[in-house]
Amino acid sequence: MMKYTLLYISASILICFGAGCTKWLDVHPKTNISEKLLFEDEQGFKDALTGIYVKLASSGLYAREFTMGAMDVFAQQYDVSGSTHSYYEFGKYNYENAAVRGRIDQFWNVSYNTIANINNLLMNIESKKDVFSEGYYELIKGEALGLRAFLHFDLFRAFGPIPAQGLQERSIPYVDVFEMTVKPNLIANDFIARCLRDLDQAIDLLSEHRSVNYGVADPFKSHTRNHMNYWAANALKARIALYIGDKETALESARVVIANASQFPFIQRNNLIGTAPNRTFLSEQLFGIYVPTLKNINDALFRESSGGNVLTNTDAFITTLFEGSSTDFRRVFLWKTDGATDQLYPVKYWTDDIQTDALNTKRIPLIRLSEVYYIAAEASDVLLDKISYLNTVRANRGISALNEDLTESQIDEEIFKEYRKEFYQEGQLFFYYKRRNVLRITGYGLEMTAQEYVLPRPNDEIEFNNN
Amino acid sequence: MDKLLTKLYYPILLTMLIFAVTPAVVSGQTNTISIDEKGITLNEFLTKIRQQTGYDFVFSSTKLDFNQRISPKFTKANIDAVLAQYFNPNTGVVFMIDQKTIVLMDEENAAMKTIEGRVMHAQTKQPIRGASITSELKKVNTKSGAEGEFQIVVPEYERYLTITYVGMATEKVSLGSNRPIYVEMQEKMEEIEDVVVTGLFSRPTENFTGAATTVSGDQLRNVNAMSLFDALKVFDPAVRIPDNLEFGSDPNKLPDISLRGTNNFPVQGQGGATNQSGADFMAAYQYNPSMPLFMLDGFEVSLQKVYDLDINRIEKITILKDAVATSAYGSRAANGVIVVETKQPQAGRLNVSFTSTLQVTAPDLTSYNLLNAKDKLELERISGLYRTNRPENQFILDQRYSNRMAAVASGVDTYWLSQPLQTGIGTKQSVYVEGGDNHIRYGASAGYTNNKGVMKQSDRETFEGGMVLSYRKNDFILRNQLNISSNTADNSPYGSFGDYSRLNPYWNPFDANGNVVKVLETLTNFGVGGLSTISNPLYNANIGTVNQSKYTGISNNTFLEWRIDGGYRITGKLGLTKQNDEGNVFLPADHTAFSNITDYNSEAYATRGSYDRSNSSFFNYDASLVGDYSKTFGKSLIFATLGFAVAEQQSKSTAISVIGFPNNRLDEIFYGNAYQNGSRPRGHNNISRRFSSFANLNYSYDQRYLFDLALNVDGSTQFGELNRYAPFGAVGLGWNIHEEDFMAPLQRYVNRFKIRGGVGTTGSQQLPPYMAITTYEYNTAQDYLGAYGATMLGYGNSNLQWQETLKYNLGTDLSLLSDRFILRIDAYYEMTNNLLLDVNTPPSLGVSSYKENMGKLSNKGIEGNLNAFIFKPGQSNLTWSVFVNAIHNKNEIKEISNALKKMNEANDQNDQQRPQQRYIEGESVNAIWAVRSAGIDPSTGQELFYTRDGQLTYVWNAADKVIVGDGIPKVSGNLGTNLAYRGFQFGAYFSYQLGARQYNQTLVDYVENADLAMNVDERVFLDRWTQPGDKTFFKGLTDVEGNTVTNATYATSRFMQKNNFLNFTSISLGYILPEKWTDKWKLKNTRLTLQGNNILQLSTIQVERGLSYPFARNFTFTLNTSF
Repeated sequence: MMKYTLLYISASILICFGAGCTKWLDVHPKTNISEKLLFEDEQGFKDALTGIYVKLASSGLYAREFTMGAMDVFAQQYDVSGSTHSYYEFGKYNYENAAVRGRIDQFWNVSYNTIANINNLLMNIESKKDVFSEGYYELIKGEALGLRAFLHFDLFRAFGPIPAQGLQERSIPYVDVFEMTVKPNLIANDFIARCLRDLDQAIDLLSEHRSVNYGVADPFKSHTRNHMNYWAANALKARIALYIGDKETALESARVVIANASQFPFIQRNNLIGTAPNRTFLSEQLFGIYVPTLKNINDALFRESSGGNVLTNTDAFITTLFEGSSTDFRRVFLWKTDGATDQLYPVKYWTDDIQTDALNTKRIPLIRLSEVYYIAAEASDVLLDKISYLNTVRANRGISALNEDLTESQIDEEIFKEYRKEFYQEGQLFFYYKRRNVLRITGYGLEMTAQEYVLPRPNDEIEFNNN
Repeated sequence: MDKLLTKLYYPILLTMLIFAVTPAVVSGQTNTISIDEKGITLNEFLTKIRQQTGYDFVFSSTKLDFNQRISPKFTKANIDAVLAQYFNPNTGVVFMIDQKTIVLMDEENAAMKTIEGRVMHAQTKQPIRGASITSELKKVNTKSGAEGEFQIVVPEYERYLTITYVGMATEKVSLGSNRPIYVEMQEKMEEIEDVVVTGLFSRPTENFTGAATTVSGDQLRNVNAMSLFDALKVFDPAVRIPDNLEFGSDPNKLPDISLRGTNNFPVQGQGGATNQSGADFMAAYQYNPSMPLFMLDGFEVSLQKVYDLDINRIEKITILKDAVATSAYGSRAANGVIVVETKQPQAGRLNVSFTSTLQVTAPDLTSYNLLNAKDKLELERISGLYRTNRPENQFILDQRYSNRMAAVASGVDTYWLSQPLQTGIGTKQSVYVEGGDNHIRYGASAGYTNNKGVMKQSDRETFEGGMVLSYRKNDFILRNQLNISSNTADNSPYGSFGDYSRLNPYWNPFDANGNVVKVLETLTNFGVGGLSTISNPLYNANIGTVNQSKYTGISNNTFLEWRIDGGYRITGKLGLTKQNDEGNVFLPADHTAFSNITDYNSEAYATRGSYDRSNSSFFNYDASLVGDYSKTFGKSLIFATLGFAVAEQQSKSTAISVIGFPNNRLDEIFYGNAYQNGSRPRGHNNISRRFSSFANLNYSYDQRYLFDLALNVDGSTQFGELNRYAPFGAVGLGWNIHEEDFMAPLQRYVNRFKIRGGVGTTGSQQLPPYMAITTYEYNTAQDYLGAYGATMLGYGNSNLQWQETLKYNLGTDLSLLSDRFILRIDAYYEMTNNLLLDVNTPPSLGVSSYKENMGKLSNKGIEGNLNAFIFKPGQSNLTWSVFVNAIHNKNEIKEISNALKKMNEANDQNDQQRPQQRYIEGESVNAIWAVRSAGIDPSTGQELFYTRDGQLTYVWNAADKVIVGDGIPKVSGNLGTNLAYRGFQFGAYFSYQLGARQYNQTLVDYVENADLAMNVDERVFLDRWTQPGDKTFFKGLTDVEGNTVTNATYATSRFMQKNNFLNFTSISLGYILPEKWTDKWKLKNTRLTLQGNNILQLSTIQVERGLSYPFARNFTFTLNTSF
């Protein structure tokens, strides 16, 4: 009798041991949520994707250094010649300086960390396809793939070779799984192929979501411009193709966007005055990042009170840049004097005079419609088309149309001028220089070489990744 | 009396005894005596007995002194008991009763008689070999043979034999006749007296092959009446609690405790989450990964719980060290286990015991040697503090010097060290009530402890209440144990002691009226001008500064036991624990921390004052079902246990920081006017679960050959998903050589000679859960268009395993000359594999490091304990014993990860004014690395170093560092002695260590690198280089050119010193009041004890100890009594 009781008890416990307990041991602490629990439903995938956008909006990445900060300084957009200026060493491309190196390492580390977040989301999404409501699987996966391509491409633009010289060289790793196996540094062309493969898949998935929403029932879908979207993915494809010299693809992709340019109407003069001036050109943004703390970031860099950080340029420099124009929106509305100096302060993100809390604030543009026109202009073989694309933008910037008899090199010069005027505080100009392998950058006395154009990989990367 | 006559009596008397006396003794009713006289003669006493009982006396003794005065006091006492009081082997005169005749005779004249008999198992009817047979009075001892037979020669006056055997109830048999005695022994599992309690099951010490030390509560209280851990370390050298040089005797700092060597690398940087509940035993490992497991009455508890436990409630403590003893704990066992049992109520009439302790705590400042005001000022002058080559500044300096000079001249010489200190008077009161019968027993305890620190207003106050109820019906026992405790820990508002030790003695903390000043001195700045001030930390104490933490905890343990015939027993246990903690740190606006905010118009001015509040809670349940089985088969004895347990821990916390308390009186957190800028609520919410199953088998054959087997399978949420279940096991073998036949001739000399050895695996699971599982964290600091996102915390290595420690142990127990010398030696080797370490990765993988099982660390050592009873208890009024114990441990790093190697490099970039950790394979974790010094060059006053390859150089280079010593001693241990004479008890205990080396940081920080603007060690004057040719130990204050030396001294072998010490840990003097004194108050077991703790330290190194909180000497006075 007794022995049987013992037997029963032991047996019942063993059953629990075999089956139930494994489940029982799966606990879900609230401080740290296991991936299994997070990716249990659609909301979890949304939250993980939101987390990725928040990471993009960190000051080490697009909320500061990769756009208005270090990247623009590398393009010599500001006067940082004072030796006590906190960006002084950046302006000298002194990548061995600890402060410079620290921020460059941050580009790399935070970008790849964000990529790891994307990868883990993508690794979980296939087995959970059935938890999504209509269209969300495609939307979330498409956005994630698009962002993976976006981040890798920006890493490539920063740390990869000068495209004119090194597309056969080893570049950096393309990471598409989250695991602890070291990934090889890919040949640049292979790297770009991987980017485009992700991007094509993203475009395919996102093609169901072509509308540009604001304020629909689902907050997740309400801000198309601030998520990687179908149009942004096409524009990105054009950007990548042009970067490696594939003009055909570049033009083709640019045209996809241009054909639907009405979704992204150019900003009008009256949008830039009044109580809510739209200086970030929100309606033109194919993709922009939302940064709730943008005012603080702006005020720490672009105000007189910013002290040793202040990023400005001289009145003379700006006047020359804008060719003395007094009508160019970008000169008239995006520069101010802050106090009685001859320095001009860029005010794309300045919000002190905005009286009604407008939508256009707290956003940093990453891809705008104007760039798509520039890409099309550069990629097109037809001179008249080139001029026409440029004139579309010029007309919407308050400056006169170009003559239709310009030569190809004159058009290239005009495109270059547009890049310099258009992308202040957006970090694109340095990559233009690198793509064109420009030898001389206004504001830097020496010739540019790979030494300056190719940012150094972090020491930890070099030490632990010798593939 | 005629000797011849008495001799003739014996055969006759003895035969009669069988028929007549035995029934009388057994019934015990008829022959009772009541007597209450003071100072009567022996003659009168015997007469009274004769009158009351009608017995006659026959005297054959020459030692009897009939005029001896005695004060007998008996009420209805049995005649045997009355006579035994005065006539026994100790008094030299013994008695025998023959029918109605009492024979008194000299002990040495007693004839011997031979008793034969057999010992059998009552149930199996098998003979029992090795049962111990002892005579009642003379303690003659023998053991039963293979067939259970024995033969014992005892004096004729012996009346009883006691038969004991492991696993059996003790039998007491009366010596009726010369007929052989036949004893049947009953199995009695739960009342084995000499057992090792592992917290999961109990095993007879005799049969156990593991390494364990058992210390009784009384032994502990003899060493220290207040602090459990200070007492515990005396009894086992393996218990390592290094002095906390930083926090000294702060009653609110829990000790860092480890057993044998450390099986982990020290925690790098700040470990763990903030504000964990003190009851959270999982969290504590993040601060001390080498901490042993604590079991209180069968349930795992935190260090804090044991630390705050009333020492008077402790029945005994068992320290389990090797794999055989701990493997049943599986993944929790690697650091050893400390098993604490509290007192359980005894049957009997209501018994109330009461303990009252008074503790006087006095600061021990002997390690501090600071300059007085006059010398300090002189030092400043000669070291050039008042000289400058800029005339405009020289004026400021001259004024500063003359102001200070004036202060010194007026007699200011503040002894800052004593300012924040007090002599603390602490107290501890415990009451324990118990009683009941065989069915219902109850116990209730209440305790109050106020542990005063030596910093003013620092104390630790604990209230404890507990209740035990047990009910037994037939084969069932239900026991419930409820405990509630409440604790308040106040840290001194005076701040850190270190703030005081560096203040200059020429500063006066008081103004002319005796009020505390806020500013000690106002200094005029050079150049830009303006003033800077030096704050008086004393000021903070009187403005309402609060630094307090408190908790309330409740635990309830329920046991249900079912005994089944045939040696089975099933026990179900359920333990519930809940604790709520709160922490408060309030600094009013007036606090010197805000004294740099002086602009009345600034925004910051209104934000002065801060309040940090944290709340945490912990809940835990632990349920288990254990089956025990014990059986004798022929010569085999088996104890088996099979158990299952499930446990869950939930831990939560929140913390907030509030600022802006402009008025000192507004001292509640809700008076604050803002949250701290950029701060948000912090906290955590964790849950973890564990499933354990364990089995243990203890087998002995013929009491000679012993075998232990332990198995455990643990499942834990802490492990990686791919390794959810961890198996552990251990095997132990033992040989009781003293039981062998060939040892029979030595039986008189060797009471016990056991050799035992064991090998097994144990684990530790102290890792945050996200290391094994990829986890996400919601980031509430930044939204994305109204949505909050979740981001990954790191790479969860799902292959992650528990750390596994392979342990070998070989030991012997030797007991000689009737247990006069007891020696225990254990040698061990422990190898921790799969050590959890960071592995660096290229950041392109998304993380810079992750956790991997890849380190290896080994510890080997030997420990021993020798007890010698110079006068054994029971032989005379005097007992005297001495003991000495020792441990030697060697630690070696076998394998480390790339991350630790990288940390070595990073450490070479750190502050080099103290030796930095460096982990090298093949070396010890505790190795101290510094550059070898060739001393001070007499010609230049600069230090000369040896490079790695032996070249002399003036240049200090981190690459030239070599191992210059090890912080862990070659030998450490304790020694002590106990003496008892009649009611007096005396104990003295010392601890020692030999062969350790320490970097004398005091000589570096407060002598050579001293900041001369603040107070320094008085050795700053001694042996300094002053001019070429001086052969000195210290660098000069000035160099050859007479300029102040400013380059700091980096880690150099010059400051490595031997750290051998002898600590007078404890001295105690106790007196047990004779019952005749206390009877009138109806008290019994009354005892007074005086104790001194940490009285003296003799050390080869003179270094400041207790930097943030001083060390203390304690004196306690304890009164125990019961009624």
